[in-house]
Amino acid sequence: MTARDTHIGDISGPAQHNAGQERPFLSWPVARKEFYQTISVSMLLPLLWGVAVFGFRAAVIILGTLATAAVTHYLLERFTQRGQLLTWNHTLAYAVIASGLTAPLLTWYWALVMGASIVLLIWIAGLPGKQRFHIALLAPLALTAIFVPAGRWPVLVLDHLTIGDIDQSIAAQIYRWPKRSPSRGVDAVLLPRPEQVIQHTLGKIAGDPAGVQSHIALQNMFAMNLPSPPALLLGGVPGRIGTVGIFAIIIAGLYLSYRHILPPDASALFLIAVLVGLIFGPLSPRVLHHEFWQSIGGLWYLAPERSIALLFYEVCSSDFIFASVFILALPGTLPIEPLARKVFLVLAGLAAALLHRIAIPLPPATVALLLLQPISPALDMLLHRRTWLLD
Amino acid sequence: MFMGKMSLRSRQVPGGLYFGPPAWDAPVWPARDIAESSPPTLLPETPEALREVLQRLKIGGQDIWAPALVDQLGGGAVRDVVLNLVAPQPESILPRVLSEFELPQLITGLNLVRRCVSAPRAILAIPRDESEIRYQWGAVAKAHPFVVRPLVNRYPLGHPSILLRALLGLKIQPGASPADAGVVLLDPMTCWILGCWIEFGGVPQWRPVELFTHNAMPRLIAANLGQPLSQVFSDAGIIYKERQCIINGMMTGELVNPEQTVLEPWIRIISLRPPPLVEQPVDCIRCGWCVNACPAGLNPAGLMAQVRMIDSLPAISAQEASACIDCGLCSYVCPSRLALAVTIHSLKTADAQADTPGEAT
Repeated sequence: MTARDTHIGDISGPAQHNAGQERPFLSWPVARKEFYQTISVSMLLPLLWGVAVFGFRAAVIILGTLATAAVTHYLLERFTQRGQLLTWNHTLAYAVIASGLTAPLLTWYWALVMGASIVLLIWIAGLPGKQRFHIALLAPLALTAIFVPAGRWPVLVLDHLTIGDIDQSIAAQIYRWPKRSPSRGVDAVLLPRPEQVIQHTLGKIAGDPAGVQSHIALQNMFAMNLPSPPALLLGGVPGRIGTVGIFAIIIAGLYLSYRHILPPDASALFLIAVLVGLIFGPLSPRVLHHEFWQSIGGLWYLAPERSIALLFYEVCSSDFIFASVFILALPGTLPIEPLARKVFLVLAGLAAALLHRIAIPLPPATVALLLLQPISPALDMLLHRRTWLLD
Repeated sequence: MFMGKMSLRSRQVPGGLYFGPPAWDAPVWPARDIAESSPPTLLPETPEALREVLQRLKIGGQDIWAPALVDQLGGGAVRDVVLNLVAPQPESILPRVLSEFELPQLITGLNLVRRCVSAPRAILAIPRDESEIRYQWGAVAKAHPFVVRPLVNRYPLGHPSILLRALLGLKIQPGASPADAGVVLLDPMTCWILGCWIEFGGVPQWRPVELFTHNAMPRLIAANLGQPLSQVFSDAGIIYKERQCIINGMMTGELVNPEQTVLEPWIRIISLRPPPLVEQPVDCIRCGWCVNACPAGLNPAGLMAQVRMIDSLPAISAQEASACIDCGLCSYVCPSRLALAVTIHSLKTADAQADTPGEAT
């Protein structure tokens, strides 16, 4: 008998992504560059959604941030030795996330300042692979907190989406996303931010959830002061540019999970911890030593439907979903040990819920993750998993 | 662009997708003559007798995927003989092809080993998705004391430590003999050679080798033992100049010079490809992919921190490196292209040397 073998056609052989001289001779085709690129690409949809809802001023903030970040990056790379360690994909990822965390009301020149400061902060303390803290994200948080009033923020009316000017706005009496412009020359309506309305009402009902005053406050909140659930999901609410498009964020999250950048179980655990914190946490910081009925869980016994609706508004109106996708996707946010990750996510979720109830003028989930990020290495060390082979 | 490739040409492995070569197209057994003499009249019946035969026939010297049978004989009582039909690397199909074309020899070889070690049964570890050979072996198991155990084949299931954990819940440290836990782990090639010996009285002086080349379908060829790899390529009509030659798979293989390397019995796969562009390693970004991918439950980045400072990542005790099974998944998935597998292997070697009396420095 002779040797027989098959030899058919021209089909590509083993993939050659990377692969050095040492084994393994293949590499998963996502390098650090693609890691950050994927995050930036996934941010596009929520940002475009934000531009649709807030108009060209949001686009100016995004483009201004990106442009100044690029210029600053170029200058630092060109003229400083340390700047040569900066990478474009890393800078871009932080710039897009930062612009997503910015309020659309921020004046354009502050957006330029933000773009430059993001890169400067990275250059000082957050070089790719060196950052112990997402220091670049401090820029949008600080600028929005300082230069944008916390009260009412504008949102374009339906027939002026994208093309409207949020500066041409009037205060709305009832919380509604108007279908057409209330009057000529007015493109947007000024609405209280949903999280502010919720905080205000929770403060009122915290003392006595079963009382008449609480009942009236809840009635008003749902009848007049909160957007409808579809408007909330579609982004027709005043908020930060990247955080209002819940559908867009969910699509981006699915894409990031598909690309293995975002661990979906991490997002789920974080959101579960947030929900637990919101359900069992005190309704208001004034009742920190609360009894169970002073929480949403307690409210369930009094008004089950309202408590679920309230929870829905709390989760969707803030940055919980945004942070559970984009901040968790950023490498370096989470510890790397499996148990440390779980503990971190539970702590961060509970902290986010608590910060939300305290009503800080900052996005609570992002702030909670940033505050806990420095303890990641300690958690990794404390909760190190020993290999099953050596047990 | 690579997204398309991801969906079209990939196989799932823990921690990511394996970019292997394209699927095989109905491989044919590269049958060759086996020098016949009179079949043995007296078959070995004890582990010692079997060891003698193995030494005489020079069957042994396997790699990390298949511990040599000769080293597993003569220990304590053996509970099970496990025939590992799980391909060590995702691109490999040799166990499947052997089961398809050389089933009688495999059964004979397996029964011989089972009888010699007095094991009451033999367990056949078969990938769950290989339905054909599963049914084939299922039919055989009705007439023999064999148990078929289908397993979901995710790289590196074929590794002894991972396989025996999945199959029997045993903890076999890398490099340790499965016989210590009362199991003999048999690779299909050894089984086949023993079967050939019983049937023909001689053992084949050639080996079926899987050949992966750039821009061509993979093929299964027969190559003579002791022949230079360059000769193997010439015989197969393949240009090997200015190509990288990697033996035994892309994950745990070795880069060799085909003119200076001869075909050894343990060479199962030969891959040829143009030299790729090498990406330089960069700082660890703490993505945690290596930890997710490690089948041994190690923290490769933490071990790497032993030898190279990684920002905000605590170093793990180097002793843990001894549990590394050298599958290479950590390096494969690392987006920073850190040489994790090689570093952990060196830590493991250093740790082993330090533990050996007289070799400690």
